[in-house]
Amino acid sequence: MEKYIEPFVEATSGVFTNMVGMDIAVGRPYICEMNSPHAWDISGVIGLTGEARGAVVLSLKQDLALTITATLTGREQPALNEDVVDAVGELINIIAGNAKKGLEESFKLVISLPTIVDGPNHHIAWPLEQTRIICIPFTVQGGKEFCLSVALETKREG
Amino acid sequence: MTSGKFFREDDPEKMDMTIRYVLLNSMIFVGCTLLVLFGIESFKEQAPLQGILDFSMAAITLVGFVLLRTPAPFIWSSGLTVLSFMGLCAFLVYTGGVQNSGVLWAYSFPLLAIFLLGIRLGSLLTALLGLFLGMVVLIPGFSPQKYEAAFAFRGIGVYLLVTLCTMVYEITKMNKDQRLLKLTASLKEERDQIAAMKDNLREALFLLDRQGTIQSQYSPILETMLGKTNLTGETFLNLLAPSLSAKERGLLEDFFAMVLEQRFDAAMLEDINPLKEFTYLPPGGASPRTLSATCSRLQRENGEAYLLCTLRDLTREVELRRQLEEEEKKRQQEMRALFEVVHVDPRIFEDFIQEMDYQFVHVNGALKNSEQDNRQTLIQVYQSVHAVKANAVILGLSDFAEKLHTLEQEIKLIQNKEEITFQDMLHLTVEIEKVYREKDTFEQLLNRIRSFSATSSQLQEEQVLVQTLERTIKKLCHELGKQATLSVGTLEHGALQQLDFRLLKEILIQLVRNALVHGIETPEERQRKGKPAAGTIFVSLEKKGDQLCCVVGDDGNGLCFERIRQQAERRGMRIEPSKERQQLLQYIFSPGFSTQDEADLHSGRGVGLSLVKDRVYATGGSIKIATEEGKGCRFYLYFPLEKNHSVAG
Repeated sequence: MEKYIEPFVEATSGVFTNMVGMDIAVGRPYICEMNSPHAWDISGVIGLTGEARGAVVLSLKQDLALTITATLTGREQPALNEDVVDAVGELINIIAGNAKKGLEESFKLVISLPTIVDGPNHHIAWPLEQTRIICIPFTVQGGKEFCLSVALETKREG
Repeated sequence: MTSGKFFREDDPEKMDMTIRYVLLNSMIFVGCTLLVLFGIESFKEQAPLQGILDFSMAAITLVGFVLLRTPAPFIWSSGLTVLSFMGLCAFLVYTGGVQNSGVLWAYSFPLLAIFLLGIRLGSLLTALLGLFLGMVVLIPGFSPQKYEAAFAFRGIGVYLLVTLCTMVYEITKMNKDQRLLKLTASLKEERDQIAAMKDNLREALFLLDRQGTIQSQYSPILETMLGKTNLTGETFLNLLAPSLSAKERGLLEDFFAMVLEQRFDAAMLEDINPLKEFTYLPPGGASPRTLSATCSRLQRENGEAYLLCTLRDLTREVELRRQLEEEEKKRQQEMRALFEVVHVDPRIFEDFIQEMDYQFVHVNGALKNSEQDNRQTLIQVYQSVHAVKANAVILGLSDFAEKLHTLEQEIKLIQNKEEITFQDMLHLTVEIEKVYREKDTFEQLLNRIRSFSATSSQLQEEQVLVQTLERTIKKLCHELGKQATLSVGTLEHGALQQLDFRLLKEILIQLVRNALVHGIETPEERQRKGKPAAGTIFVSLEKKGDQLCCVVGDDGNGLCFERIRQQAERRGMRIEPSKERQQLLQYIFSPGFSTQDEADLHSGRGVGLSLVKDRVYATGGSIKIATEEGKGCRFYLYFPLEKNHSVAG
């Protein structure tokens, strides 16, 4: 299963370093309950189907989303508005696109266009029966954090 | 010569038309030259009428020559030429020509007309000219020349003969052409059918000659299977070379030779076929395929022996088969798990699941704690996995225990690495998540069992504890070939209420295991020492002032300081003789200590006592040990009563 997750981790690191221009460190993965309360304000959901089925979700807090928007568009935004959603959507789009390159070549996988969910403690409808997800925490410069969560079901083990 | 026209190679009329074009061209050329020469001569001989006729005929022929080079149908140009030639012949016959030779020209007409215009039109024109010839030679006064009757009949006779011969020849030729056409058509149809079969078969067919080279008429699907185009002339063995070991290659060469030899029975050859199912590595690093080849001998008409081979792509079949087997295995595992679970009392099983939940919260907490480095986390994860494994073994969930054992080994592998990478931790997390899923399955099983035995009596905590420890001992004795009984001393119910039950159980299990594995001797050894064959493990729990005192003891061999010291020294520990005992006692509680050389499902890896120490210290408690070599060992655990809930979550 790691082989499906790693491309997303690499794509995320790459995009943050090269596009947003932020130093990024990946933390130790952990497991959490799917619907436990969380502190994230905005999430991008990338769906996967094929030999592995599920979703990869990138979740951020408002302040990091605003910083990223300012870096990408050059305009400061006061709060989570449409521009911020667009900017984060674009960022996740690029991450999905970069991960897609590695994944669709090597595995029988199809990756969907990302969708954005926002709002405090927003609920993500994971397309699976299982109740746990693997979270990979990232720290960017200034100690801000965001999280890449993965829930996948593989048709074949390996 | 064919007037710049080209005919398709496979056109059955190609040869025919080529000849017609060549003939018409040369006729126009020769005719035109002759006509011009005749014309000039006629003018010289003061016969302008004939001269003009000659020239105009030449001009018409030239038009035909030009027409032949345009896309206009062949019949236009040939018709024009033939008609002008017919006119010329008629004129020559009518005038008699030089020395009455005009009639002779007419004899060449049937040949040309029938050949160039075909049997119908050609015969018609020939008949017309013949009629005109007859009239000229037979009817006196019709033409300026006078012919004698004998000459006339001979002239007409020869003309008829030439016409007849030409017609017979043409008809024969047409028949032959038609037959050829039919034959070609039926051959083509057959070839198309064979090609269609060959091209659409899911098996690839091909021929190999004695040298093993692929012949040209192979199925196109062969290229897909072998992942290579233009296979004609390739050596089949070389194509397989990357997929075969040297030994296999030798085997295959022998097999081909045997097939070619014709001496061997087909069924026997099929039995020893080394290509019955093999993994093929296509060039260019595409994913491997599973192929199956069969070979048989084929004698061709030229006397050469060939190998007729078929190749089948089994990749999908093999994949499906593998999936089926996996499903079957999984199903069997689930069945076995169900049977294993059914034997366990639901109350104890529920306790096991709660224990797992507790340990997994612990594991997750360790993973999530970003303050802590990977090595520290790994130790905690390992302890929890080990504790769950111990419980699984006690309950007889051997498959699950085996999985946890594998997980332990993976953790150990990561721990032994110089540098622990993100990938290692991700892999570990994924593996842990898989174990979590297994727990979910157990939970579902438990719920199902509960629905069957809703009325079963609820066991008291003391009973659960005692039963669990008894199971532990029974199980381990069986595995280790030892004998031991559990002796329960004071077990204050009130004391039990004040301590986290799960924590206590975990600690007791580890200590009991420790006593059995390291303390109690084998029955033979015990008898040699004059002890009863069955050892005794003693457990008690009571309140002593503001502390809870828990005692676990055995009448085994006691701690062997010599062995502990040896191991400590092997690990590079410096031991000061004055504090030797104290240092060694501390050492047995450190992670990684074990006097067993190899870890197995039941003990080893030295996690047991370090876990006990961590858990007791976490409550703010303390540990004392009393040991006497040859007599036994006792662990005294003290838990403060106020703080004992600090780790209960």
